[in-house]
Amino acid sequence: MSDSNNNDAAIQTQQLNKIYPGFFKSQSVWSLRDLNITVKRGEVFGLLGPNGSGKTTTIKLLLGLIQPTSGQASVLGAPAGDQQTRRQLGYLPEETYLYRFLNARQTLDFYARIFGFNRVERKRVTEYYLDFVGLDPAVRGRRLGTYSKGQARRVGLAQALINNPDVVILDEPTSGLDPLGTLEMKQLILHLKAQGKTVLLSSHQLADVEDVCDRVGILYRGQLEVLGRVDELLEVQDVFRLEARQVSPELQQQLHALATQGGATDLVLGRQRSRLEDVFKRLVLDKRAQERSGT
Amino acid sequence: MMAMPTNILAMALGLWVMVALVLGLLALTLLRAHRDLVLLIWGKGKLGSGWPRVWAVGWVTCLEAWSMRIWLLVPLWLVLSLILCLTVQPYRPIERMSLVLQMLLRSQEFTVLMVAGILGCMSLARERERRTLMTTVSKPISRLELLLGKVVGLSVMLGSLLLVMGGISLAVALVTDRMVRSEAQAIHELQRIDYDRAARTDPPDESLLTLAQRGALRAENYIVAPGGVQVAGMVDYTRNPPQRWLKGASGQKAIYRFTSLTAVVGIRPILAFHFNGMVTTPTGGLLNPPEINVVITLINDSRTREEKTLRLNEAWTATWTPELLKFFCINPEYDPGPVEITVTCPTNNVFLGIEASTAREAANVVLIGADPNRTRSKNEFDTPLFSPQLLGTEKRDRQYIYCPAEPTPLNLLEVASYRFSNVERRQVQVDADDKFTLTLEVDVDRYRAQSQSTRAMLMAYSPLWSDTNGAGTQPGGAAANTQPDSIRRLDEKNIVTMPLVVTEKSPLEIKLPAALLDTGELLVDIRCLTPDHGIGFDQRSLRIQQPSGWFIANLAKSQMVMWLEATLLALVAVVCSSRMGWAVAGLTTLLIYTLGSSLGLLEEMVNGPSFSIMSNADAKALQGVWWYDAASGLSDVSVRSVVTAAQILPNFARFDGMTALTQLRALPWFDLGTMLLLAVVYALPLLALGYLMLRDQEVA
Repeated sequence: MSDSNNNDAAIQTQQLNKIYPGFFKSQSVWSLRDLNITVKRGEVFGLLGPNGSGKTTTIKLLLGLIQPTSGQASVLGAPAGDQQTRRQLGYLPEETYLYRFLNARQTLDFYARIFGFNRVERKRVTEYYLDFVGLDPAVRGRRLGTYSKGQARRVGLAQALINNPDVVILDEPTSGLDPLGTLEMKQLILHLKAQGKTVLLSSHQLADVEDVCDRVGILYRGQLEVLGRVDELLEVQDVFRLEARQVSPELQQQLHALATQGGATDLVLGRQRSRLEDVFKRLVLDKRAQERSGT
Repeated sequence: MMAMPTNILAMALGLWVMVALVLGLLALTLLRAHRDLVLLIWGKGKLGSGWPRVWAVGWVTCLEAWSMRIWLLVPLWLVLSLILCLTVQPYRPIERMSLVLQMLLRSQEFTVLMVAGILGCMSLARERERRTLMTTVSKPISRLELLLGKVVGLSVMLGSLLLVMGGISLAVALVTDRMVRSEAQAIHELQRIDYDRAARTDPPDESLLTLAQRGALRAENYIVAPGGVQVAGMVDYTRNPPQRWLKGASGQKAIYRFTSLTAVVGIRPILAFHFNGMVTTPTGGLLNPPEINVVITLINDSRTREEKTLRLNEAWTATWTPELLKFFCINPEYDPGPVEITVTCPTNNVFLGIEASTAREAANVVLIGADPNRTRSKNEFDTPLFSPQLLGTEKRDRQYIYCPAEPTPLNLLEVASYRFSNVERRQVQVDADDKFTLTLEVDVDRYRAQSQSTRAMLMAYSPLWSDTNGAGTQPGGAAANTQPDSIRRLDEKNIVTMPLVVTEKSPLEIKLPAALLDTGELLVDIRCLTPDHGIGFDQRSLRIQQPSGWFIANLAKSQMVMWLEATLLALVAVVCSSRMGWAVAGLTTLLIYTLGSSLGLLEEMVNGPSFSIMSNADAKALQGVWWYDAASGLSDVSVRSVVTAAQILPNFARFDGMTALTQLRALPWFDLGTMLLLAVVYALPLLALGYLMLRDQEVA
């Protein structure tokens, strides 16, 4: 399985291999095998796979945090890990690896310094992105060590976006977030897409990927097994679905009869069931709206 | 072809290998880091220069240290130091300031070095463990900038700590100064009352009054005699420079240094001794010919020595072929290195004239049959390298002169001499009366008449000579039995003679006319006049005062030296932590610090007698036994490897800014510059090593 035919590529890998060496040869782990993927500019690409399939390794290789055993990887046309290219990259690790002794403002100020912002710009982008990720202003002056996982994740996301990057790499972006946080994250990814950013995300929360990704690649034991557009991959050619409201029992019977006459098999007719996730989100959103209106 | 001694060759080779290794390391780093260096210094494209990124990392490092409540160490340090200052009481008021400064600065150095080592070891190692490094290096920051940022951050943090501690030290010193002033005033007052009531024989110590007026916050500058003190039995002032005489049956000794005593193979090597002799018995003769005791010692190996008592003939000469010389003759490949020949005279009523010249015709000791490649005047001779050093009775690292119990003419009293060369008026502080200050600070030994004051006679002169015919009065009344035809007399206008009363460790300020400095050379002779009393001197006992410096500036210099030392240690720790876990990095840093600081001790262990656990007889008996030879060879290689490692590593003992400060002396700017240079010389290869270790390190 390969994907290597685009001049407009934001991210590209060619025959990328990574072996983590052990003390003895038998202990070496082949983490990635001949990976060929291309992520186009402005696309949201999802890397899927079970634990240990090589998703995080791919991301680390793209960021230059580790070196490939063989093969090539490039980001925005430059070799992976190039210092100048990293200026246009944003990265959210799978866990929030931030300094626990800094508060949210100091954290963002530190990363803004690395990107060369001056004092005024630093202050502006810090507040802007803390607002953007929805971090409660009351906790912004507290040390990160005292944050909940969700709060820390928001700061992590803010640091990934602080340089207004062209390419955003999100490793398990919804990990540790409540359903509402997950929804917000998905909205954010779509927002980034609308801004023309390229997003590469890895996840094993398949529902999340399905909602936001244009294309996905599925890795298994370091090998790319499936690659394609989400709607194409999810489309089931021999199953037809009809959705409607205000359907009376009589109309249901007529539809059933019509379908049976037409030769349809495995027919299911009945009430639409909400997902628990949807119920939770609706409940929390309603509560929040009530709190805001003071009723 | 000139034969080079083996140890010099080995040292030169080792030095070249080390320089080549360091240069190779720097070249390799430059090759691999050139892109990072360009980005750091100039930046490229939209990525500006790397200094803001370095400072960003440094700033976070400082905040990390702050979050670890590093500031708590300051009050802890202060409490500990104050407890020590208050519990240890000085013997004299002037010592209180030294003591307080020593307590404050030593504990400060310990605290800061400990912090530097611990934080340096934890900085990168903990970032790796907590994976914060992963987020940081995903940003446009190079490993070089990261490494520099860590070091800069630690350095700034240590500097801030030292700034605060320095400020507190200054405040404590100011308070101590007030205490010392009032204490000195009170003691002086008590001494004066006792002296007025005749309850005390010594007059009140005037240095206490000076201390009460000037205070103890000093940064003194002074010039010491470069050759240290020379102790002679008598001085012949008719010679230029004045000839010193070694007194028989006294603790005096003359030391002659040769670069080496390698003799020519096949020629019987002989040491020839020749002295101007003088007998002081009433008859002018001796029952037995005079004797000299000669000891040959290898400076590089003080265990190897040989001694012999030689009888001088009528011409006051003697010859000797030591076994050591025979050995060098048979084994020419063995280079003994520098050699010291010590001569003492056990015969009473005898004086030996010690020649300052090292010319073959004049030198007291000459090696006949020397290596032709070493000689300067004639092929078969070798002479001492420097003028001989004359020492008195050694006690507690000081040279003592004594006044005998029986009445003795002034010219036959022991003399402690100091020679200040190349001293000019502009170097010293000259007052309105055209006088400069000489400070005398000595130890005193009183065998009898302990209630008596110790009196001394000081004679200062510059060697301005006038030739006269016939005998003239010599300073000190000396009259040698070997009068030259034309007697040269010191110009009396340039001689100052002054009686003194000296007190143990009490600095005595002596005002002398600045005209004495006009020739650029000043000689000072001191004799003890109180019977059965002795005066002890070291190099600093007599010094020419220079304009004093600012105490605050001196303290700042000392803090600066500590800062350099701490920064270098932090750099060592950061480099260690770039690959190792914090615990291993900590132990490695400790090992490097210990090895680097104990070079002197290690060298002493290898060269000194304490290194061998076997007696020489046992060792000789076992020589030739294979297991003994193998074990001693292995042990020798191991110890020498450790010594070599210690020589290569930064020597932290060299960073000593507080010794001068605690002795209330000014730390020369030159010393500070040297230490800065030393820090840079070590920092560059360390940074290069750290960068190479960090450059391709995977952050996973």
